[in-house]
Amino acid sequence: MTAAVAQLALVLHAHLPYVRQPDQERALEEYWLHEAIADCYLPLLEVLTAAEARGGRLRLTLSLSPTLLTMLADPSLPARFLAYLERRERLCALERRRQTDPGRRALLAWYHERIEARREQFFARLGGDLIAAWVRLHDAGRVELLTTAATHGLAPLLRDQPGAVPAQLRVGRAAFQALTGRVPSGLWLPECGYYPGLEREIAAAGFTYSLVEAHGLEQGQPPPAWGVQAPVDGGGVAFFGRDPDSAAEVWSPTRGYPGHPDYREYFADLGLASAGADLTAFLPPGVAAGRTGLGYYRVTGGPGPKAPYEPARAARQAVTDARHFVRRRLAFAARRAGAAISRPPLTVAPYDAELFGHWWYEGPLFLAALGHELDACPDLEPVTLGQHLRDHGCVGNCRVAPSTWGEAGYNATWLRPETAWVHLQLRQAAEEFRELRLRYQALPATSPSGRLLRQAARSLLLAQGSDWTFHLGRSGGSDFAQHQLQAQLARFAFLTAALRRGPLPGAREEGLEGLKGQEGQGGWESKAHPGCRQSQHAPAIQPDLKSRPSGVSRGDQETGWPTAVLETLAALERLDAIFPELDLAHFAY
Amino acid sequence: MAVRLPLPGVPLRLPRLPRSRVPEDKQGMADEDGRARLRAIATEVERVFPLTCRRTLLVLSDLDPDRLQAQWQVEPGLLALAKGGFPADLGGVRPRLRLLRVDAGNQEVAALSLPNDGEGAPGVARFLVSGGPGVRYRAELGLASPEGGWLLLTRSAVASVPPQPREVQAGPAGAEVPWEVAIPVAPSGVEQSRCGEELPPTEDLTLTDPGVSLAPVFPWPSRWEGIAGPLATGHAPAARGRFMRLSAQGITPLVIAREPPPPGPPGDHAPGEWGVGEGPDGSEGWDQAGNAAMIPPWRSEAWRSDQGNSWLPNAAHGSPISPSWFVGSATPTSAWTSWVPRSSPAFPPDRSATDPS
Repeated sequence: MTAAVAQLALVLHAHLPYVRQPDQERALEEYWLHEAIADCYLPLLEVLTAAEARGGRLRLTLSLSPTLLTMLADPSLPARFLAYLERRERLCALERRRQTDPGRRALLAWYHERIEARREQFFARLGGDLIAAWVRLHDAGRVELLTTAATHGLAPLLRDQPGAVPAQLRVGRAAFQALTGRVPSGLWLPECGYYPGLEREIAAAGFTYSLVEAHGLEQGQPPPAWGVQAPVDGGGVAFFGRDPDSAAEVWSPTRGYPGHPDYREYFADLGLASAGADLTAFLPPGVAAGRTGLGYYRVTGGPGPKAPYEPARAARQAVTDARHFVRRRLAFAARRAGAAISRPPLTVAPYDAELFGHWWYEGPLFLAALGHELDACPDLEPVTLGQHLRDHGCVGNCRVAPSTWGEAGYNATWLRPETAWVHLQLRQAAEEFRELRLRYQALPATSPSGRLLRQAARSLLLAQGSDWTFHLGRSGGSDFAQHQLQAQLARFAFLTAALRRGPLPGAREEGLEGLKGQEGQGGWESKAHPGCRQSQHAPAIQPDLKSRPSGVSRGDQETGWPTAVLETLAALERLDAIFPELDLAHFAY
Repeated sequence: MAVRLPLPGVPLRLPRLPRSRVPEDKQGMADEDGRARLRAIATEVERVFPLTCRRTLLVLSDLDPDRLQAQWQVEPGLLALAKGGFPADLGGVRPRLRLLRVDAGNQEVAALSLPNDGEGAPGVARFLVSGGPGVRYRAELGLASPEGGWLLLTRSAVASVPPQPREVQAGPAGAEVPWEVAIPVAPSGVEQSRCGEELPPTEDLTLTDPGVSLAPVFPWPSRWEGIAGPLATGHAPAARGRFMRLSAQGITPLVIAREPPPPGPPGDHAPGEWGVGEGPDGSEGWDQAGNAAMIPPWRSEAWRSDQGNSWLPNAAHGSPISPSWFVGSATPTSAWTSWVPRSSPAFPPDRSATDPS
């Protein structure tokens, strides 16, 4: 090689849907967050901090989704997380009393030590503030932080919904900025979903680069000379392409690293494997099974019984796999070494951050070993995406092709017959919100009307997350996804109906039932929509509203709102406490 | 905040989160009474505002390089209202979904009849296309009469498919090939009545020759008095306002010929067709007007929407309590899922359900 060594851009995307449930003391879905903190985020921070302490070369690009950041910033999180760790610890203790096998007892002791270590790391070293830890690493140049769409809305399937894509991108960026105090340059496209023209929205939202699946570049026009080994200018936005080989080495069903027989078996979790453990104290009341983060078995291989999990053995395999990973990157880069090259070939290796520790329990060990391997390999330089872009720029122009990551490589994963109703409901809500936003946006954010409008925007955004359509009808999370969608769309319907109804004169009171029929109307002065039903039971528009000229603020002096409306609004603001500074201008039409 | 000291001798440092991150009144946890109150309100909102179809919509999206998916909903009452707009002597008026090729002068390239009872529930159809990424399509949903009358209810935005992967790209892009149409809604009464469940392949096809000239069948405005003409003043007074609104929104009702009327006596459906509830074997059926032999059955895909007025399988329950999985039950569902399978085609090997014991 002449100009430079090859480069590796490890990109991790940390995202969880908004599963905060303040109406429950213990919600099963919040365990996702706690398990991710304990098994993914804290170990990853430990890997990066250790690399920094020894002056290692490991660097990575990390996408933090606004929904995840919001949940990490929740002041009640430390207490909840602590309670989770203690429940896991108690489960360990219970199992140690129950188990007689020395190997299992030793393994449980090992788990117990890890729990202690995580608790010490989270509270004593990080002060319970994961965001601050990420920001510190960002400022130190060890990590480059990106963000993604506000609620992980899949852009190709939102493009026909008025204002949806601009809102997702801009609200997401603003939320990231508010929660981290940093301005993100890069955008993780949810599900790597791209459609022609999206680059304009990305640029308008203030991002300078993004990342697409390999075929997004390979099928682009003109085909990039460097394939996925260099970013292209996709119309004012730089696009990196995912390297398919490094992806396959992890995700391949036949040769992916996590499938090695020595690694811990994901599906044999203590809470799922009918192992006879007493989960009563660990799981929420009434829940019979759920992931505990503890397991006795390794993948093993073959059809026979599972063999016991041996952490030391798994750790050795992680080192072996990291070494293999580096060798493979060098081998691919060497293919280009014979030609005159003006820039280092780049391998972009993006993964879900939660892969490392959740699916692949030894994933953080792999990352730690990878850091050591890179320290010993001067020909492969770890970089962040932004760093590569600053140093080398784009190789040329390219019209990126429509693409997503995932099974099919296109929208089919999220656009299935089971999900058709979701896209229609979202479209319906987006159209209704456009009418209301244009009508009421001038109202003060603190007035009841302003609050109703903003909370409706939050519900709409939350319903747009790609997580729900991914799970709907295809996994154990389908029921939860459906419920989340129904809940958010119901909240949206209530909020918009109340907004249309407005205050009731004469301090009249009515319950939520009184708002039925208002949710489908286009606003009290809006033009009729072709599909807009003339509700038979919709009460007449309130005269006091109708007489107001467009855009005139009703201000904080709004009075006469039914108590039921105000109480419900306050409850929904508490249930969906996200995007507190929501700017309605982000819904650009 | 009631945080216990995590480790003996280790001073606990409480989070240093800026208070502005979460509104002050959202900080901390509610007590049990507060949580119960939140639950009750959330449940009440869901009870009072179940999912409903409030607008007639048609969305056309690209699935992959080979397929487009159309999905639609028709607001309750609209079909009956719109049918009232057809002249009284026109029988057999049926909802119809059309796929148009925008870059070829809005030429109709595929169409299929829909059941008359599809209001409120979503419908789905998939189209196999091979025109390539440069071809632009649009879908329309409307009412069609056997004589060729056509009343547009809604139309989709323009959609195109992505390019084929290079290694399997065959033939010049833009070449037209036979179309295939999937059936949006299955016959009523089928056992698997839940939205989204796949049905056995169907052979229903209603293809229109690409070269058919689309000329008005009802010379405007002699038969179709419009929108506010005799049809509205006669037997369907309720239609007047509706159709005027349609026109006012720039979606002017179209009256075009789209295909010759099927042979046979006029009626709800012609020979070769059978309507919902009148299958050839006496069971509930589906209209069959196309040449089934043209389409390889293995490519047909069909789904049905939920029956009746229910939007979702459990949308109409209106349960006053949270669903069981939400508050916890003996059969949790979300416990078995992971939140991170987004990029995984499949998980690595040896993940079979081997009994660890």
